[in-house]
Amino acid sequence: MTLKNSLSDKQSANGGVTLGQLTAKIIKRHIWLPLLALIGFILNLPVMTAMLWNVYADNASYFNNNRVEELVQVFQVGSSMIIIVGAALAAFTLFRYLQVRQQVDFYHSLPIRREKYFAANMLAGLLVFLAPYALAHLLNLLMMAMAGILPYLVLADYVQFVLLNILAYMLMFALTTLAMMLAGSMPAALKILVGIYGLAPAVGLLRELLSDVFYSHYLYGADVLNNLLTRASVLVRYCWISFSGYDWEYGTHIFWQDWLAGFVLLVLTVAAALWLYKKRSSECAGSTLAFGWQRPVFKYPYVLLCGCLGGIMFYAIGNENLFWLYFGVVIATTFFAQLLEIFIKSDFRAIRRGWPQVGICIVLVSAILGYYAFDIGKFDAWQAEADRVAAVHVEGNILSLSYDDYRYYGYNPYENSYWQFGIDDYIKEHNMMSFAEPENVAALVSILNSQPQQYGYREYEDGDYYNWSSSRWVEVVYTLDNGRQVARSVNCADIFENADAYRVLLGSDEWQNQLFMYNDELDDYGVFPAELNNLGINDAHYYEPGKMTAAEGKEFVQVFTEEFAALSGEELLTGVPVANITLHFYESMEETEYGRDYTNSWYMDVSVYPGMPRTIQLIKKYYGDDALTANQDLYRLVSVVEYLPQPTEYTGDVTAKTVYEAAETTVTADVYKPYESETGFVEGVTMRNGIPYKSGRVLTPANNAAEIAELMKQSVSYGRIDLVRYYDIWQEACAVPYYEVTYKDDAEGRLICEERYIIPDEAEYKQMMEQIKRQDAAYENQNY
Amino acid sequence: MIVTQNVSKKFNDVLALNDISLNINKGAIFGLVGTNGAGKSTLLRLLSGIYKPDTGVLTIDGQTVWENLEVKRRLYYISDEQYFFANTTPLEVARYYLNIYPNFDIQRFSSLMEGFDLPQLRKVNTFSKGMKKQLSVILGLSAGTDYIFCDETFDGLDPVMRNTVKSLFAAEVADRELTPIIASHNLRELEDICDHVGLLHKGGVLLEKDIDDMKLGAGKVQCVLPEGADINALGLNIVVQENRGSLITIIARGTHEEIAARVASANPIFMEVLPLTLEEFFIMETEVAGYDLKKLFI
Repeated sequence: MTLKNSLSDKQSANGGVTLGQLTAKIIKRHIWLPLLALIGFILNLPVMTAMLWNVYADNASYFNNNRVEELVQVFQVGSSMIIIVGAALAAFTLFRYLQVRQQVDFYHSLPIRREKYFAANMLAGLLVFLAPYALAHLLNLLMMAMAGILPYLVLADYVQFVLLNILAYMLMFALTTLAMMLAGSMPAALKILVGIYGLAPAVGLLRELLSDVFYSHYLYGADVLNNLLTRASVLVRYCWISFSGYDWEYGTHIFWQDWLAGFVLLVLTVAAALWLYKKRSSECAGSTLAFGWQRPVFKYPYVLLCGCLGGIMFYAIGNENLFWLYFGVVIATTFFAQLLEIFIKSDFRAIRRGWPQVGICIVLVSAILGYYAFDIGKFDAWQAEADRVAAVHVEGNILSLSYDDYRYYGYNPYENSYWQFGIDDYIKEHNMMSFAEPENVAALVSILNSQPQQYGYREYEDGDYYNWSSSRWVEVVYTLDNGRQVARSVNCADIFENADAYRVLLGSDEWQNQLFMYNDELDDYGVFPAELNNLGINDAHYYEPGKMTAAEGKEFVQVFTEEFAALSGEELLTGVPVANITLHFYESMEETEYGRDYTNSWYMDVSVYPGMPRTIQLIKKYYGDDALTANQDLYRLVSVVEYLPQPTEYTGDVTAKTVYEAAETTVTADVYKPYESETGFVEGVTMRNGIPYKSGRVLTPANNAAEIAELMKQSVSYGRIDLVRYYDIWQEACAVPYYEVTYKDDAEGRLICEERYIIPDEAEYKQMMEQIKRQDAAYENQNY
Repeated sequence: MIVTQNVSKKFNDVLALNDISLNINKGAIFGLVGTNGAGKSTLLRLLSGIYKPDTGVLTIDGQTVWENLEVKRRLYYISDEQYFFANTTPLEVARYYLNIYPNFDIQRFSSLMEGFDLPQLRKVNTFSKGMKKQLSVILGLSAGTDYIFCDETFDGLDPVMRNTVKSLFAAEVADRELTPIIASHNLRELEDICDHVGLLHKGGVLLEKDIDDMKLGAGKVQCVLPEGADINALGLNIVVQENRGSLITIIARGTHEEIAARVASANPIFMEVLPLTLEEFFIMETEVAGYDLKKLFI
């Protein structure tokens, strides 16, 4: 620069400095900002592309749409990191002068309006990002074109990400500027920015934590306020979009709400920052806060938050003792209240002040934690009353039919989950079934209100006593008759305890009508039954039956769904499935030299019941006539051993162990017992609910063919009982006697044992369960 | 003309300026004196439009200063710790001002830089404190503003430079009615340049006077009186009296001639009329008001 050049500027000076001139001067003074951004974006974009090009230069076929999708994802993750850091750095740097007295004196004494300064710095903040970002993208597109990747790039998605990043940068730059306007020093600005980004999510997470720690029935994700709080952060949303994955098929996960919210928030933030800039006094430079009214906002939410966290931390470490909870509250609240007081005053002596406020904070934090700890809001104590419930929405496991496989409706993982935070969205997302018929609501409420039963048993090897519960945890949303929705995680008794209510539910039209509802995505999919499990031992088969055509597959599923939906509640509850089938949905199929190649496969495991004759017929057609009986062929059967309880009266573990030890012998036969551990294998003796069973009669095909055939007809394998909903808590001791069937395993050349049971009828089963409970209670009374 | 009417400014719990009222005529060289924390810098920042008064009215040529570009273009503020951009040169700073102050005269800037023997293309951050002060004054004078507010600007200047700056200010005042307001905690620095002085103490104006008027209204005499003569019996309005052996030094109100005549009427063995320093004037004036100025300044 020469003196002569500088003289030529005098003409332009007469009208005062323009926004452009001022912006240019600001950028020039902070030229390192765009240079740093340029280096970052070049490494993130064209260099990344070039590296990939270099790695796969010899394999052009590597690149396809999916690979480029992955590349775009890498771009986005890297860019988002640069943008998050860059936006904060730019705003901190450009508005730093407000916090330095010398600088603020200098700038504010000049004949330039504060609005113009603000506008120039905002514009400079945008340009120091935009120019390098645009340049890096141009270079990147050039690099992609050179590498031959460009044709695979979905330009619309690429541009959408670029625009999102610009919006995100502007928004985060504006938010950081807002923090700078509110702060008189850099540490304060950092703290305010952390608060802007993180306070609402932190409060939401604290509420989640408190509910999780103190409430038994809290349903995570179904609290609308918490959902709102945990998502109420630009940073959270931006990271959510950037890291949640760009999907080739569904594109970017950016929704119109993001654009709208982003622009509205940007306008509001810039307006607020400008207003604060004009209101901000120059003399606040160097002090912690720019405005006096900020002090309570700056201090107390953090004190309460940290006080609660301190209380919870000590409560957890202190064996969930309330003394330690309040100890933690006092320590943490006092510490953070006085720490912030010192921070605000920038003076350690400030510790002498604010003690009455500390006391009030301790009381408030104690009240908050007490509200949860003592369930003052009656959250856990609340129970639904059937006549006040209009509808009940329950998740699949209450029906214990793995019915996610029978219906998959409503929730699409690629949908807009961020903006769906209501309870209705939760119902949809968790694929809940809804029941509104009064008799179904009454049945469900009675199930959900039922108290779970505790059972006990003694481990025969070590004599220890174990408890187990018949309960199940169910996620449920009640819609009350006043429209209020109540979400709970409920611990209730299982099907066995609520059989009548289940019969009502499973026989209802509402249940049947909600079966086999799927997202639109499956409408155009091909389907065929891929894997058949006929529920014996080690008898799963995988093959594509007869290379079923698309029409045949559709027909199979059609028949299956019709027959399944028509099953009675009784059959669904107590019927023994004859097979399990895996339905394979696929979007497209291609014949290759290695077989069929399917894309976007989706599998459903479903059960086939005896009351589904057309389905069974189709199974036999495609899998073979013996598909459902193959492993029970008598020609492979070696022996059937009948087991009966030891006639000795059960007197506790000493007797049991004595019997066990007396009978223990060396394993001699090369027999594989899949349900017993190696150490537990004792020839001729086994334990059922603490009762020793000894082997009795031995039937062989040679001598007892007719009796074995009848026995095989009447009995079922453990694998099948496991699928009978009524016997979800199947107690082996309820089937007396039971049979150990030994097969020859053709494939492995060894013997396989399978236990088979003759299922007792319902009344008998109930009676035996009562007996087991009495035994357990007696044992418990005797020993504990 | 600068007028402040009942201007107050408070920083948190500290009242920096309390109900200040001042009139500063155009073309005057106004010295603003006061101890540290008296409110001098605050008043200058208010005059520069950096701070906004909490109460009262502050006008320059009839217009308020706060966010008034028309007024701010006509004033230049030199802070006690002047800010310069990082890694900048004087010429770059001048170019910056060129776009901001409509009357900025780059040729005058160059000639002044040359006159002060300051390099235009050397980084300002390599300048000494005194050089930075000189640069600030040069920039202020080149800005062509009607008002220039100097906060402790003469601190750090060597006596030669101080005199040069004083001469420049005097010339600008004479040429184009520049109104410099010079804040300092050192009365001696202002003595030979200011024609008007305001004394600030604890946020208030303790005194505001024309120096010439002050000098006309008081005199200082050193004398040795014959035995038995009493200086206090001469009918003088003595404000300050100091006896060192037989040597008596007094400061009294009245014209120099009156005071000399009254002392002479006692037939002194020795008598000398001495010039009154600004400091002595202030001591005299403030003692009347009940302040012990020696404690403030000496």
